[in-house]
Amino acid sequence: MSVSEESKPIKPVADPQQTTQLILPTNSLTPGECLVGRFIIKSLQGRGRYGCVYSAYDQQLDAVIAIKVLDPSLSQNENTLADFKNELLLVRQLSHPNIIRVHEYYQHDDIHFLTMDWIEGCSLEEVIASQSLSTEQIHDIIEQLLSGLAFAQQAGVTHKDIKPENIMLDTSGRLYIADFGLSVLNKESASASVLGTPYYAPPEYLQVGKVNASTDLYAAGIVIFQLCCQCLPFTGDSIDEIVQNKLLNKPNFTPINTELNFLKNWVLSLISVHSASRPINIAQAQQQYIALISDKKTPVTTPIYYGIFGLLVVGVFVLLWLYSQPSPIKANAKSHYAVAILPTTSKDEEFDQTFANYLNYQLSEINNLRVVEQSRLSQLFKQLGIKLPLDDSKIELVTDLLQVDVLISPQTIIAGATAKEITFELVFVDGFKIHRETLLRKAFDEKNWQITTTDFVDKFKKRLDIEANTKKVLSLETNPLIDLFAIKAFIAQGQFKTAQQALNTILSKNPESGQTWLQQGELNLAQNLILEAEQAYSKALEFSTANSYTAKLASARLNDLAGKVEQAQADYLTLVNAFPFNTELKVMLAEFYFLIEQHQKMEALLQDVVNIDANHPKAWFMLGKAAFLQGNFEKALDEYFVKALVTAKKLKNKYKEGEALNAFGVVYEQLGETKLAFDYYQEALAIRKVNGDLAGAGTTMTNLAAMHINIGEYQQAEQYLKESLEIYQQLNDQKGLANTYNELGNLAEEQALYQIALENYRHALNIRIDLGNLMLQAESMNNIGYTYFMLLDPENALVYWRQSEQLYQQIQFPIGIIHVRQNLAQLELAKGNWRNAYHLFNNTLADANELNSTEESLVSHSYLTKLAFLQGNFQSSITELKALYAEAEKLQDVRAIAQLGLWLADWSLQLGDEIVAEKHLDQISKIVSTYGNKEYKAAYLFLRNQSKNRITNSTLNIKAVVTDHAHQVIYIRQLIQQARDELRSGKKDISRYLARLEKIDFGLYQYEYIEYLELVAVQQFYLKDWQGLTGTLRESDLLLRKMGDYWRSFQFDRLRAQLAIIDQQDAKKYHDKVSKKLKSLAENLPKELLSRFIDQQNYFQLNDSLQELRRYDQ
Amino acid sequence: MPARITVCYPNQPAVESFLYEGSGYRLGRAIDNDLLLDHPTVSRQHAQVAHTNQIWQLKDQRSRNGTKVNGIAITQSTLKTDALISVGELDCLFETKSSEQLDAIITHNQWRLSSSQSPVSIPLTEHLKQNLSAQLQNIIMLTGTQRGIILLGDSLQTLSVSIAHGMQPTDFKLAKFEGSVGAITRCFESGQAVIAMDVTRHELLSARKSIELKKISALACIPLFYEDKVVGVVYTDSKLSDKVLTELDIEILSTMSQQIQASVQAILLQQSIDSLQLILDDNSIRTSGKKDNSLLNLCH
Repeated sequence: MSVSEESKPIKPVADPQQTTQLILPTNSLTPGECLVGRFIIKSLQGRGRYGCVYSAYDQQLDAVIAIKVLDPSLSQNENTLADFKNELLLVRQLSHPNIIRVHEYYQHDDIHFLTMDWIEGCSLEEVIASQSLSTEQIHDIIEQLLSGLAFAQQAGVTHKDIKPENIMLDTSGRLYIADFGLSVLNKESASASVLGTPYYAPPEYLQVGKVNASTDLYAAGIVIFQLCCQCLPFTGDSIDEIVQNKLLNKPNFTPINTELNFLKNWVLSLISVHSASRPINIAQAQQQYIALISDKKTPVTTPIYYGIFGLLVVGVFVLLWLYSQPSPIKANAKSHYAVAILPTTSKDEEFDQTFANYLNYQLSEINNLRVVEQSRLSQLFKQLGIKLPLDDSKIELVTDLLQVDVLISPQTIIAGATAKEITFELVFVDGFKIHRETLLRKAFDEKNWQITTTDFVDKFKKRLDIEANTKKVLSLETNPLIDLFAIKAFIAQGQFKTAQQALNTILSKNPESGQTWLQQGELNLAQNLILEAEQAYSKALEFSTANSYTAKLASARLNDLAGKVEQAQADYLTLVNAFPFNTELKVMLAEFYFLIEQHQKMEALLQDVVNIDANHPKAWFMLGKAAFLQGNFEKALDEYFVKALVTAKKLKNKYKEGEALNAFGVVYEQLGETKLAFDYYQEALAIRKVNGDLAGAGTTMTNLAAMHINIGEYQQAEQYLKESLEIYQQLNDQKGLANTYNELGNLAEEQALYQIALENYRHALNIRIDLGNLMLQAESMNNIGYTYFMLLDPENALVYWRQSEQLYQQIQFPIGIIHVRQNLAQLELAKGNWRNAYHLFNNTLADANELNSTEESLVSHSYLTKLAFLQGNFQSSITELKALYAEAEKLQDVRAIAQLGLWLADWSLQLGDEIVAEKHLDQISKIVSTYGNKEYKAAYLFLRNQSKNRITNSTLNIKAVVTDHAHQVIYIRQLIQQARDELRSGKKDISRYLARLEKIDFGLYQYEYIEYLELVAVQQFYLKDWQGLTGTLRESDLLLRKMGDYWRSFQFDRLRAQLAIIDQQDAKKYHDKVSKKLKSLAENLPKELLSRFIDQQNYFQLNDSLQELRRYDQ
Repeated sequence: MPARITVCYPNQPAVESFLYEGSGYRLGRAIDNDLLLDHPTVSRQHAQVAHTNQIWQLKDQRSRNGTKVNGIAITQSTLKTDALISVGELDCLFETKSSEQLDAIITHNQWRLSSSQSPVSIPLTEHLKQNLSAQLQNIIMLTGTQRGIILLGDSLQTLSVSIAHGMQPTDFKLAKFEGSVGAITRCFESGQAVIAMDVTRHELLSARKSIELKKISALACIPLFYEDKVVGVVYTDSKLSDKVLTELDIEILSTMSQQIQASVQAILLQQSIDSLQLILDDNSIRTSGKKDNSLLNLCH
């Protein structure tokens, strides 16, 4: 069966006329009719408000599909139809197992119809009516319904008409949501749509037609209610009555099967009167549901009450207090109280902290109570410069900043010569008035003080009328080791050594304490000692009781470290749900989500944190990160980072302020607002510097440096990198130092300042050798090798590359090996060993393809193409290089685009095709000028001038260029070009060019060297220096053998023929060779280029012109 | 059963051919092949597909770059439906089809073509923009793509979205839309149709890493001309992994783009008339010297 509210299957016997009175016979189709040459109508399946649904046979796909024909009254309304078609285009993009796939929209003559998947089954309405669902099936349905709706919401599509009739179940139990988009057709008659399904629409929609993120969520809530209870939560005979019920009545959730009771609070939150008290979006509702279910599935006998458990009870008792107590304590949140514990002010500071921590620990087991972590409290006091005791205004401030309802202030007082007493005072703000109330006063035993707090906890629970969690899911240790509290603080402050020392003492006394090993694990983890952490957590797990906090956290960490994502998530979730108001645990889970890149879940969870504690110092920033990583840049900025900044300012937390400002910079950079990004980075940098947040300043400066490099402001970039270098030196952060040196090397390389690059890379390498990280060492060595190569020092280059290759092999890092081998191949190419180069590039290409590394395979492939060109396969190599150029464009790899574009232009020029060369240069002109380094820019300029025949001495500043590889090539090529131009113009003396070329070390320019030899030979021919010519030809012969096949070789044969004539020998075999070569080259050229190409080669005058030679063979 | 083979070129329309039972077909780059595959990685005589004993067989003809079936290099292999054949680096989809299916494909294609050509398929309304919108709808409908945009402007800088269908606001975020922007830019600058297909997105090869790089599996971009100058671009794409744009799709697209061009020309004409009118009005006011007064009068 398929699709929609009218899709109740019509039994062949039933008279369709009776099922609905909306039938319009105008567009009915007869079975066997063929639409758009493809769909054959099988039978009418149902009809309703929007039209008729048919089953049809799709001849093209050989499958049954559903066809929904729009009612003519709808398809004739142009505006509605246009809107509907637009909406449908979005719906068609929804691809999810629980949403019916809409294929196409067609208009065949006057028939407007859509095609979609055919579902064999029935609607949820019928299923509910049959009352045959088991609990498992109900869960199955809820899960699938939420999954489909959450997906649609994520994709930005709202259904607006969710109801059981629109939900299909196939025979295997798979659920499909139908009729997405159809509600648009209702636009014209708003009241009609409301009339359609008022039971499922939220009250705000029924009243004012407001659609929001929870419209579908609310409807799903009603459906779920109906699934569980077999009845609707709100009914009524008219819309007004239904709305009235929705607004005023509390639905009575009485599931048919009591096993479903645990869903009560959650379901009621979905159909809450106020949209604000429903989950923020469907994804969150889904997450809550999964949490409920996963807890249900763990072998815990009692259910966990998520969220607003006990709300009613608390409310009632608060009312009672109004009569029995002078000043009721009001909770800000509906569901829980929040408290903070002020330290005692004895002279023993260690005792003060320990006592507060211990009390905190005991209170944290109480349900519906959020206890602010002590570390957060002391940090706040430090930042705001607050000292105890607090005056009234400070109390107001602290209460607000921590978002707590009550402050607990314990004090020890001297009562007699040896005796001491302790008082527990509750401090809370009611309106403008501050209440202080001593809840307990009793004798204090310094040696056995732990007992005193137990009394207080009991009294406190009675006072607020809250209960300890009697049905505990997870238990805390009954005897916490008080020495461990300090360790937590040490870890938080980064004092790892002190922490380790303290832990060692505790561990030597209690070698079998789970909680201690847990802290050991946390300490190891903070220091990134993974193996040690794993060992510690395993011990924690071993020595702790099952279902204790310690065991759960240890298990979560172990699974996390072992990469068992699912299990780790389940563990963390259990923890979070067991202590619903513990923001620390939530942030921990959020960090885990961050690591496994579940940014959506991370965001939903952190939303929870800020709902509990709007001034949480970390949560807003992390929310921003989550949104940013999902690509919601504006949201990250406008909703989260702004709040992070405001909170940081409120809490006077300069570190966090710098962090938030830096984040602003990152987002603006991402949004392309370069100026704003600069501003914020600079502001962040200023704050971080003032604060002494050196690591932060280092980060911001690296960001700034990267931005400056992007826009070619190398000096600025360098300055920032140098400054961050200083910082890392100061911090003695070796890793940071090495990375900065490496960046500096990169910067220099970008500018073609290879000497400087070399220095920096060397620095980086030295540090990395000390650090012992082989991978980074190999990277540095490869970089150094490359700079040596560019500095024309092949011996050193080879040494470093070989070492780098060995290291990469040792750690088995294939991409690294490919990198090095490509470099080696380049060296071979430069040395004229083309065969070796070919093998190296060919092998790296195969390796890269195997690894699916597009970038690397592009490099190898391009060089192979270059080799093919050098051998004279002009046409195919150009075609191939064009394909590679397109590939580079696809990858948005600017360096590759520039490089390949330059090659294409160069090759075209060599073949005499100046127009195409210009075109290629035009294509890359922007990229070269924006992203190109000096090397690219020089090459670009050279080719431009060459194509315009403007090579002159002045084009290049010769003094500046001869020191490195890239520029030297251009210098040589320029001289060769000028010499050829002279010869072409009929002059016979090119000695002044040859004299300059003679001074050059051609070791790494064998490709240019052969062209130089060609010129030398021509000069010798003109000077009739036959002996010299014989020698030059011999040398060229040796070189050409090393190279393999080189397309210019025929030029030497031309001269050999001349020599043979002088020696009165037969020149025919050389003429034959030349014409054969030219013939094969001609085959590789487009016809229209041939004459220009020949012309170009004929640059020196011989008494046998090339043209004649060509004819010779024919 | 007969079969259909779709040759997917990375940057030109895919070519569909039908293979009939009991025959053999030669594949290669040379012109005398039954199936001409125009790609540098394809050898002149590359491979052979033949139907013998009710089985489709593929044989490599000792080609230079080899032949693969579903990613595995072969010298000879039987072909099942939905096989992905790589001839050199050119990917071809092989599907067996019953003769009824083939007939339906042909009749449906005929319907699509005739629908695209019939001018009456779009009722012209007086609102020019509405026409444009409906025409874009039809393009998406008839080519089976998912999203479409018409961009108008006289230079790359001023090029802006005039109509968009099937697009969410977030789809325009640069990071997601980068590939498309590249295509639009190329199309606008060159005045040539740009077609790009990423067969690696095809679900048979969905295990490949490269899918993550780009979310679009097929896109086409057609320039719009006004007096020999490019004044806009029609863009359409699909994210469905098995979508290929065939020669027929491109033909439909071009035909419909002609119609859009007419609408755009009408819009541009209207605009120049409007601006002319504005100048005239302006002049009349200025000559009468009462511009401010008349404005004041209007305010009161």
